[in-house]
Amino acid sequence: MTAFIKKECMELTRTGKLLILSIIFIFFGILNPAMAKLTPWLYEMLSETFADQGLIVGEVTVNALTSWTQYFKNFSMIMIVIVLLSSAAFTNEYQKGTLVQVVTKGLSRRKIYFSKLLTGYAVWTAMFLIYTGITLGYTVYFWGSDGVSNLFYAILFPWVFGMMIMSVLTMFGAVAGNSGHVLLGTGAVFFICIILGYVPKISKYLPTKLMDGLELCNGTAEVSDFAYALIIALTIMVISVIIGMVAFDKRKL
Amino acid sequence: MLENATENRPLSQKEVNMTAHNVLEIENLEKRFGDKKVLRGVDLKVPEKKVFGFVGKNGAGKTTTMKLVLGLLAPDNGNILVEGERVTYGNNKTNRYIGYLPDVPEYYAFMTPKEYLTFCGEITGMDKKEIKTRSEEMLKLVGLGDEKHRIKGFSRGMKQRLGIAQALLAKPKLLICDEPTSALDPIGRKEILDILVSAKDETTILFSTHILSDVEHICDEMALLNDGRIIMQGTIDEVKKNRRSNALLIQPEHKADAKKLADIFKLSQEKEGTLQLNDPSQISEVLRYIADNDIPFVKMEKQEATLEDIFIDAIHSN
Repeated sequence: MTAFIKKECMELTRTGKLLILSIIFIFFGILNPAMAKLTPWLYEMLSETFADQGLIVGEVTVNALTSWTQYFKNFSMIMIVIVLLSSAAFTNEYQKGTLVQVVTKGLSRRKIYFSKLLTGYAVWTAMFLIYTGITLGYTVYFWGSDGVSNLFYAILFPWVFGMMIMSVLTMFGAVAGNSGHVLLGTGAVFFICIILGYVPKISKYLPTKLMDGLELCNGTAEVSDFAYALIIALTIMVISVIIGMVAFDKRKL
Repeated sequence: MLENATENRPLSQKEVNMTAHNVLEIENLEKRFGDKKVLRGVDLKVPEKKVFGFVGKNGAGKTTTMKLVLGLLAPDNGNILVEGERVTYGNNKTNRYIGYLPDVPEYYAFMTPKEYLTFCGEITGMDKKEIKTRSEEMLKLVGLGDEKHRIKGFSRGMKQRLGIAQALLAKPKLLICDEPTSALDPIGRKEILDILVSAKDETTILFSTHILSDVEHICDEMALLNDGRIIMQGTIDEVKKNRRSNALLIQPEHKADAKKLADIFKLSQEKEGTLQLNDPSQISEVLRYIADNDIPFVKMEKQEATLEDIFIDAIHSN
């Protein structure tokens, strides 16, 4: 299994996938505090235009919370990036037939499946740390952490959501015929959650709720408000890992 | 009583060897895709340390059979035993005995051949030292010993050779090659055949093809698959003997002599100037006449059916 994970890592670095992902995540990580920093200046630039239209722009105050607002706003964006770039992990190998050779060498399908899953988790976690680390560093440097509550949970929950998405993605990878299907399946799960989120009664049960870390930061929500969403997300995670594992056993390669 | 006594005696060493002899045994194997029945009861036995040619036209079911042996497809009926162990779909335990070369092998293009073989060795569970010595040995065997480039830019022939290296890496009891030569140019084909022949001492080779000259060159035994059934199996000589015509071909130097002989002995002419003697009892009579009359001739030969003839005959008579 370590051999296969090693191969996955080699693939990530040598095909340049890791580099692309890192660049994008570093970019988004810097973008959040940068946007916050630039906001007053942007308003100033536009204030004359606004004044012409009869709008008066008052003093704009920027703090750590402004930066974190950006952080959570961009979160679905980075989810989309990671899903797009990870969607072909299995299907590439189906199309080329490279797994046939691995399986005929006697490596069990379970080991292949879990290698891919763990690599997916690791990539997501690494990218998440880059994104979060950079934002955190700059934000604390510029504005400190005053007025930001529950920051640990606020960023832990979105990470769990990402782990769930990676599990769902791997499950679809084990079942689907091409990466289009993987994207469609994972996207469907994602968007169904978002659409259902508009129904206020059930929104607290949905995994997408986990991305609302901002509510924790600005104190409009308690950590315990996220309990249901967390349980549901973890359940979906476990179920999709199991379904994917069983389906991959029976899959025609 | 006497017969019973012989029945019950313990098996001699020779007989034990005979029974434990087959690396691969296939019994009544059936497989259908949708309504299409691809295999309709294939029976096949591949003995140890032989190069076994698995012949059939395109679409006869050769690849399907091989994939079933590798546990990559689930059979609808029948049994497959590799080294006496049953093959089950999805669970690839028996694959530890098998080295497999797919028809169009694909590898992780970002690796070098050496890295790929190391990867293969690791997933097979070989130890580090063995991987190192064995992969160097194999790369040398297939002529890729000095190749430092990544697989990305490899030609088909190079990929095919690397395919043999990876298939033989773990010293398999059975090497399965799916049309290893079909897509190659004559030089590439010869290289692959030579490598296969040199691997014969180590392993049993089952290789599918529709190129009959390859079978004649390197195989000890063959089976002909047609329409989902094995319609002929045996050593190359046996197969040829079964269909060998007894005809003798005589080509006199002058066409007039040929015509004269044809008239006297009521012989047919295979083509103009070459006489075909189908009845063996006539041979001495005809030869005597030729000797007595000092008829000069260019050649006289026993007509031997080529595998092509046998192949076509067998398929048509089926």
